[in-house]
Amino acid sequence: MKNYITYLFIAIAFLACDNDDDNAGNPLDLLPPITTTGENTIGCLVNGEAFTDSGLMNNFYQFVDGNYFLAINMNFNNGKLSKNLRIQFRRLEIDENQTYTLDKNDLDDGDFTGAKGQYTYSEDFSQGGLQFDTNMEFIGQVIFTKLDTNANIMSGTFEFQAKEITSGEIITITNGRFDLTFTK
Amino acid sequence: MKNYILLFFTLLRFIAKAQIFTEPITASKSFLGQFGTATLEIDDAGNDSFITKPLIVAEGFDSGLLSKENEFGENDITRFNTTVLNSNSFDLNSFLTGNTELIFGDQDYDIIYINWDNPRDFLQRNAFVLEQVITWVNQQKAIAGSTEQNVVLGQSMGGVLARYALANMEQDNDPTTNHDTKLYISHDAPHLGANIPIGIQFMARHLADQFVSTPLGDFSFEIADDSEASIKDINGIFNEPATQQLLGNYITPSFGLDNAVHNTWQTELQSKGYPTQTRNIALSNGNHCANPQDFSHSASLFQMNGKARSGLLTDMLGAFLGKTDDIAMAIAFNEPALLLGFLPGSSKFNLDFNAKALPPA
Repeated sequence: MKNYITYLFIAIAFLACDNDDDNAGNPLDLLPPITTTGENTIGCLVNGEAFTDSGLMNNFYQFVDGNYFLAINMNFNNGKLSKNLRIQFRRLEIDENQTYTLDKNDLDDGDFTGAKGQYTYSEDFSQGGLQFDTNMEFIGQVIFTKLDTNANIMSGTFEFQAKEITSGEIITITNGRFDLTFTK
Repeated sequence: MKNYILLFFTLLRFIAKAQIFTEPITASKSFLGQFGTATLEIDDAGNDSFITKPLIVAEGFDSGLLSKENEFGENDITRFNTTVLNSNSFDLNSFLTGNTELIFGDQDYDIIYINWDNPRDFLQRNAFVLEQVITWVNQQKAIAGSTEQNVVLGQSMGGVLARYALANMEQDNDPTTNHDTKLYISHDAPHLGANIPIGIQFMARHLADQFVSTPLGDFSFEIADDSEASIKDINGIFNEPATQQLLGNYITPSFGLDNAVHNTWQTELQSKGYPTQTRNIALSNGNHCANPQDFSHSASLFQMNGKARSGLLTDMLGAFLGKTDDIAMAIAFNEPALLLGFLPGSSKFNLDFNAKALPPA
């Protein structure tokens, strides 16, 4: 009987093992759910890895000098590692449920009319880092499922590819979702 | 022709991958017998080793609780660049970042970012540090043969320091301390004092009494991005000189309201006035559409009674403050966000907290 109990424990011990210690589960599970109620959540996969922020970054949709400007900025910074993702529109009025293309960047297009996607990554700011920008070749899209200018809520989904401005490395952003309050 | 321009910019991107320079500064004037110090981070436009067109950025209050890994605390040239990029303004980025976050020297202005070595020190002591920074920058311009006047941007507490320093340099009748500044920008600066609701201050003091100075002891908690702080740390911030000088209503460790330090500072600042040889502009964060706060006078900022798990209070604070993050915490000196996450784990005990907004004056 005692042996059986020993075997049982050994069996349980093996059952409890996961043969893949690196597998932290599905990264999609780490992203906030897709909502449209101003939950102040944002997240996406960067080359398959989850990236989120509290969503209280500097997000705005402003009417300036006769044109609309929109920005969604997400950030992580712990003093060493710094990550930023930016989706910025210039001179475009946003309509709900319309798809907008991210294909601009400041270095090639200057003060453009349109929209850009950008991701930056640095492990030590003083040593520089990587800046990935959308361009005519590596593009993406944003769909605003909600843009409520009374309640100041914008919600939607996004994805884009972007090219590192020096090395030419490509990064892929997928499964992006945001549900943010914004300033006007 | 367009191709040549494109090639030039591509080359520039490669060449311009330079670094941020640092420079230690010690004030030449002491306050109460001590000389303040700061460390400059410099993004050198054109990477030519010359300062020719300076933007001097005076950083704000730094609690010292966040980003402990970062030698320059919560605010530094990194976060400054990040927020400029966030603005979605091409012109501003051309001036200040060159539209690149991590490539240095490709912008229009030489950025001189001041990190106070003691960011919660007496305001006068750090203002004297700023005077020395301006003097040092002017010496560098002279070496470079530049006659361009400075732009001084003071953010939050830094706006008050810049006002004091620039005005003082005009009034001290010392020809060697000409500020040579054309524009002073006050960015969300507490010229009339800062506010942390006194109910929140009372709570901080009370928690310090309940835990730090009793057998229960101090405890640490995570505040953001792996940074930890303890009740003692937070209580300590309230005891520091700059906190007392800035807070319009200050609660002492013995639970008294004592505004003497603030009043003395405010009197001195007001008699100092504003710089008169600069163009002065001011920006104020917040809602510009005359919307009031979303709570009324005497409203409960939060309350919690009866038996609860401690995590619940943290949740409630979170709900009250909004889900805070590192940036929100870092710049929110005049917000109660410093107190978020006060209670650890999920231990069960009796609570009776109720912090209220002040009745109308």
